[in-house]
Amino acid sequence: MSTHAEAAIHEAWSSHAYDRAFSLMAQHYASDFYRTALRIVLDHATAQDVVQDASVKMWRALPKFKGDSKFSTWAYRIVVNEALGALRKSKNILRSLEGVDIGVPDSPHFEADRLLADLYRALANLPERQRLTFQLRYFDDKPYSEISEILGTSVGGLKANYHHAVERIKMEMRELNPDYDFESNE
Amino acid sequence: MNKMNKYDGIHVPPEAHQDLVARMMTALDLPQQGAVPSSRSRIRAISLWAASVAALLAVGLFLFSDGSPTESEVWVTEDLAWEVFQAGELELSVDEAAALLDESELNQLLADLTY
Repeated sequence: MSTHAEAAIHEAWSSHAYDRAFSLMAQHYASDFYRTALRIVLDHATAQDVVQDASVKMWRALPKFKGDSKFSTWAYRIVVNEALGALRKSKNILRSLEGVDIGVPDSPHFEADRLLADLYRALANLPERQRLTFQLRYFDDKPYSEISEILGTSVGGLKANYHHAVERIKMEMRELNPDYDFESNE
Repeated sequence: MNKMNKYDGIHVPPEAHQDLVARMMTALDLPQQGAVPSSRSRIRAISLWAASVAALLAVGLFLFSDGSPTESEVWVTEDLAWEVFQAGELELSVDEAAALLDESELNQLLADLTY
């Protein structure tokens, strides 16, 4: 999210033009919300539903936004929470289906080589906090301070989560890809 | 094997992005918190009306008494009336409320109650 877009949303919001603020947020964020949701729920239709349901919560809460964080941070928090809720509902169903590649997103918008697919499989074996921390840090390049606001975890805790996640992913990736030189490609 | 990068493999094409935007925009059909009074704020408004009625009662008791409390009388103040109302020990029937309010005030009260 660019600083310019964040400023435009804030300007609309502060003048109580909530529909414009929301519209700007949708235009700038919709795909990022979907990507974040898909990486958590791993299913295209569910990710779309998450974006829509999270949007309803954002719209309803927009007048009460306190302005103490970036809109993107506030919105990501809602999307992540909505996605986690959807994941808990769908997990048992997904795991009972035959032919489901656990951990790899099932979406027409997802395309990966073997290494990336293996990374997702390794991520699926991580505890929830480690997985979320790794995704927001590694894929989205978000600073720890922002991840802290999104997940409600201390920066110190996040750094520990990320460290443990990386170590475990390395271990699993080496087992899955013994011919790959991870040290020179990190 | 390709070098691993931070690309997460998810690419949302423009038409899919617009579809997501459209999905998000359907939220605008719903009311916002704060735009429509919540049930809590309606209850608060009704409580304020009832508190006003309780205060009127207290003033009425004061005006129609001889102005000085005796040992057998309870000295009713607005604060005391409000405490009694908050404690749920004061109830007013429609007839009692009607007797205390003029027509416009009564209409306003009914409008607030049915909002």
